[in-house]
Amino acid sequence: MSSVLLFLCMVASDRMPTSDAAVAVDLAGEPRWVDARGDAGVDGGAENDEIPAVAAALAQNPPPAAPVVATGELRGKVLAKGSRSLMVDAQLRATRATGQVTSIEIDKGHFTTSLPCGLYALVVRAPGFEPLSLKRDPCVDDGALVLRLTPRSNLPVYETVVVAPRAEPAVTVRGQQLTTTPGALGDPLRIIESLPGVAAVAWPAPIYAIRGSNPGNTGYFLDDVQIPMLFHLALGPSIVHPYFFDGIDFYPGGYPARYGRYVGGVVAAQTRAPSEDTWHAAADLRLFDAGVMGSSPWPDGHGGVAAAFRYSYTGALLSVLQNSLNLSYWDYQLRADRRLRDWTLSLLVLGSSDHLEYDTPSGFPREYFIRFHRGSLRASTSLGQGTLAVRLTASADHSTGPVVQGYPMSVKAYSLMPRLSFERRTSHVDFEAGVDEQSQWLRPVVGFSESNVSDLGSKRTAHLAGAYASATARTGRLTLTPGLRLDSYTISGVSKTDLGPRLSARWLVGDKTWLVASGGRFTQAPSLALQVPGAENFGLARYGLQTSWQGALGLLAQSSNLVQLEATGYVQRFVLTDLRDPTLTVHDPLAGDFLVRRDGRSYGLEVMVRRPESQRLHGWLSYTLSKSERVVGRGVIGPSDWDQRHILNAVSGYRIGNYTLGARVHINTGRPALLQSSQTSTFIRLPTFYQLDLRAERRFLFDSFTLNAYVEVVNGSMRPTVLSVEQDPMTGAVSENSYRIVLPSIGIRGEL
Amino acid sequence: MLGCLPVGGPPAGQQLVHDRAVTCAFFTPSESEALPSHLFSTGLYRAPESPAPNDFPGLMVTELYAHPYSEGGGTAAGLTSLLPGVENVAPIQLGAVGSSPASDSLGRLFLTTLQDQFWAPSGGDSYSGMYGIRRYDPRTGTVGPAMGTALRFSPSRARVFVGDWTSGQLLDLQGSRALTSVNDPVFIGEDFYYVAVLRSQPLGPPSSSTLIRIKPNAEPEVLLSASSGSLSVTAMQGTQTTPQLLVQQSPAPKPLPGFFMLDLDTLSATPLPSDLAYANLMSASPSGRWLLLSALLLPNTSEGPVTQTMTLVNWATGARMELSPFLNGLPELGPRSTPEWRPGRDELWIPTGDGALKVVEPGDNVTAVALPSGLGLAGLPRTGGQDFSLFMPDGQHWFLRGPNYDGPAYVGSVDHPTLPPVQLNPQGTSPHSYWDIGDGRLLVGASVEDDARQELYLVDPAAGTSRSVAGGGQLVAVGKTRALALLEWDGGRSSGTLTLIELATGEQTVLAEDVYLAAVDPGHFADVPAGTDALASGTEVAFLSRGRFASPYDGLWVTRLP
Repeated sequence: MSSVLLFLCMVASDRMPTSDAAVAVDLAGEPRWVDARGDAGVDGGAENDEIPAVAAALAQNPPPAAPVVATGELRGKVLAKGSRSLMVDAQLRATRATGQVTSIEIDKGHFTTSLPCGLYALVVRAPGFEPLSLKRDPCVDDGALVLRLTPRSNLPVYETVVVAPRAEPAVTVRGQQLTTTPGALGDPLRIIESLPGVAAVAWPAPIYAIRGSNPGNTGYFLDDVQIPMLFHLALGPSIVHPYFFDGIDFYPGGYPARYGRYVGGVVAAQTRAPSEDTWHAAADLRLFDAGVMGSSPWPDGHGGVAAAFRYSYTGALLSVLQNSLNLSYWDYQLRADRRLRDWTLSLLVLGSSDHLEYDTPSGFPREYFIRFHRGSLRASTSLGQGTLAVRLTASADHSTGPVVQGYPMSVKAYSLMPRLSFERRTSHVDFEAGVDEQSQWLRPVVGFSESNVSDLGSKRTAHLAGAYASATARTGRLTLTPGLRLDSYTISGVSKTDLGPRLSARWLVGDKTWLVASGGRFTQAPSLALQVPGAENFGLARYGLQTSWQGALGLLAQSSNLVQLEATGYVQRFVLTDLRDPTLTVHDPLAGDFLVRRDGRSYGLEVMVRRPESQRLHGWLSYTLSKSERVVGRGVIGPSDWDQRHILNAVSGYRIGNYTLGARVHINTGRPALLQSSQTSTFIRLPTFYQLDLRAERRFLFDSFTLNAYVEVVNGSMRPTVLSVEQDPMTGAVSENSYRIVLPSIGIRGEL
Repeated sequence: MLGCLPVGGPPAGQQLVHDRAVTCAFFTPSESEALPSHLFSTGLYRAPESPAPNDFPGLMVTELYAHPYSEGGGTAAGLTSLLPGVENVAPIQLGAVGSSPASDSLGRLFLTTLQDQFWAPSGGDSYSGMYGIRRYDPRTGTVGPAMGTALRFSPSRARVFVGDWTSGQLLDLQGSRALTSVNDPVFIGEDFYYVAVLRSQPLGPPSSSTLIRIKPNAEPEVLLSASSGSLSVTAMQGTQTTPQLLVQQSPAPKPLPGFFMLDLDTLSATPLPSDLAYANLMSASPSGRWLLLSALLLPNTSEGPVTQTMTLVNWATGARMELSPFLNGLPELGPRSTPEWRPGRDELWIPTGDGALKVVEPGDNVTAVALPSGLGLAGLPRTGGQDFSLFMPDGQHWFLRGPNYDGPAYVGSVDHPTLPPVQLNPQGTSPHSYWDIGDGRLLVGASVEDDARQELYLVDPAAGTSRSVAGGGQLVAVGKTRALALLEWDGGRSSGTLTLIELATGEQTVLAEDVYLAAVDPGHFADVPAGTDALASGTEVAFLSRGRFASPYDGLWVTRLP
């Protein structure tokens, strides 16, 4: 109402806009003039006259009252400019010269109403968009209106979802940051390497050690479906199309009870629901790959379907440049939602394939082949004021790779993963409980035999079952989430069971200041340092369960300008299956001594200052001080192989009109590495690694589609990644084994 | 909660040195019932202070430390706080098994050290002239002068010859004798033989050669003289002959034969065929009666092929047999085709492409023997014994492999060659060597990739069985019922877990982790009585341990086998 009044006041004042402009009001209440044509967002219907002149005429010559009121129909739809999305949260008001204001209901982006004949000033507003004003006489202009709202220039195209504080300690990434964060090359999952608690141990390889655990101790879930690998081989992108993601929750520790079987953190990503308003499409073309994504509602409106496919020609380029190398990969995703009576069905299908083959100096080619498929059907319905959900996931994994002396090892694994859950949310208490199970049949084939091997190379069956319950109680200043999870592991006939209590708490101690605490016990089957599809669920008899006790206490404060400060101290106590020694010269994962059961602990401090994406200058600064230790025996507690003591990330973005500029600075101190001479050996720290990533993006906004062009360079500082060090036995000189990778990227992306 | 981490305890035994820089450790026999074996270690290898390191890059020396030990010893100290027994010792070894330098019957060590006054060869990169062997007495701590680089021991090790091609010292228990112009030094029994060669110029041809014998506590006696040309001698000791020297004179002095066997008891000469005067001795039969000789026949024209003859000669009777006609040309000499005498018998076996030629009682019979399909005779090295042999020491079994020398190895019966052999190691692994347990069984090491990470297979050829007893490491020693090995071997850090393995059950007892070298006490005397269990309970084992990170338990330890 205030904006409309302001509009009328302005009409009567000397501050008349020029003839081609309409007045608008931004969220701060300041009016400004915007173009009423073209990009102003009105398609079809009546011609746009000059609103100020009409308003002035209305004010000076009000029409006479008529005893019988003739009416006309005002109808149309409201869309976001640059897309085909209907605005579901827009407000439309029609104001007559008499000052009479009528609010017009917008239902899923469409509006239809009858109004008395006459000229109206229409104002459409929606959060994050420039208001749009125009004049309309429903009795004269009877065509349907198509109103396009222009995103505010200092806001993201799509508003970042503001997530209410939760008790569970998650860092959440939503909105454009998923694909525009500098240094991530457009891959949402790569953002986690800029988050606190994460050590990227051999950049740019996506190998992440979180809070002192091993890289294989972190679980990755997509819509609660565990996925065995995140990225394609050889610096490839993530195995899920970036625009298939709706958001990512990163739990560096103390993850919710509905997840299990990992003793480190959890990265839980959600897919974007298929559009139900109209069909959408997106296509992107980058220096190294191309992808498409489409989304459409079902014809009857009961849901929608989305699909994505990407093909990378990096392999083809490399293969052309290097005859002895053959690399190819692809991935696909499909999500289909369907409402069927009281049930909502959601089908998620995804898969990924990688093939790498290269010749060796010995003349024997080495081949890596990794392929997996996931199919998951979720059905949910209301039950007793809650939601009951049933999910059945089937998976097929196939991996082949050379192990010792190039002998190939191939494994095929098939799983069935049923899951049943119930949630009920009330104003004070949220309750969640469920059971999940994984039955996996693993069929490895090994080209040689050794006696002292783990069962990683043996035919085996695994049954993993879990039951959990958790509740979130909100009482005044305190939010408390106790949880309990019971996990049972049966692998190759050996069974282990463990009960894992969990607790998360958030206590409002001041104005927008919370104390946050979390902790619990977590378990996992023995694992390799890296996750490989099919190379899992082994060694329970030899190594026992991996376990962790985790505890974290932090302070979260939010300033009036939405800047968040979070400082968290954590401590974790582990029993892990470590690589016995990272300097193993024979990489034989089948050897019985490849892994060792080892006690460990980690503790540290994580600090994150974050300015939300809704701000013109946005981003975060994260710093991690960590100490990750392992008991290596003989009275010694040493640093873990992945221990990086200091990690600093500064990620920022700045919007100027349709441009967004971004930069990321990363610094980490080196992890331990063996320095061996012919006579002795010692561990030293690798040199500090730092990198500077830059990104610039230009947005072109058209009526129904948006085109983004961007250029990005990762590791523009050209700092080499040092993997190991060597000492010359004769001279004693120390040399570094390193590689220097700079990843430039340029691309365009169009979205309808 | 943080303080609850179980940090692990010390290894079993007594720590003698706390130092990460110990490079080698070994026992030497004390040669006295009253004294335990001597235990030594060496420190970091370094460039010598003199000559200047830049003059001879790569020239390395170290210090030798003696470590008296007893139960409940004191606190271990670093090497730098100890006084070295011998300085400027040449690097002894960098393997994982501490092997001992030679010692005499009084337990004195013969160590290669940097010479006080060395000469540098003109050109080339040989540093041999810089080293000399010194005798070190650990009981007194005395170190003798450098004496050359060649070392010969008498069977009792009471007499030792140390020298080089210009001079030498014959050391007896009570004294020494300086010798000059020593060629072909050899002990036969306790008697020392050598050829004294006189040259008119330092590197010129011999002007005269004299075969000299020096018996214990006796003066040198001249056995033969060649006023011109050269003499060369080879010791022959067969089971059915008296000690002999095979003598070759060049040129042959008329009317004496140029090639003959010299009986060392009677000093009588038995000539060999004159046409074989320039043949090479390949081997002698176990009895000592038969000699296998080969000779190269030069072509008549410069483009003709060089051919080789192989001849068996009974030097006592003069009987001879030409083998070349049976070989269908010349056999491809090499590890798979070298003729070899069957242990304990005068049977010569010559591997061929698809079988073997068996020569029984040379001169009487040559038989072509078929082997199991797809297999051929192929020797396997024996650890701690002869380098390479087609046969097991018992002479009853031999080793076979596939035609391309890949795939598993087998052991079969010599007398029943067509019987299915016993597979030693699985497909995909390569055998390296075997240990003879002494009761007919073998312990065979085979690996997939890293030679130091071997699977250990206990093979009983008589029973036809082979089974794995451990894997991922290498053997240190083998006893009657147990084996000591460094398992979980990590090639990156060159260390493993010192483990005692029960051969019967495969049960493993971990003695220490992060061990990069281990050495077993051979006992008080170097001459170990037959039947002794090398890994009997109570046997001392020394080991060097070095963790990933500095540990109070780094250094030299000694422990007793349980």
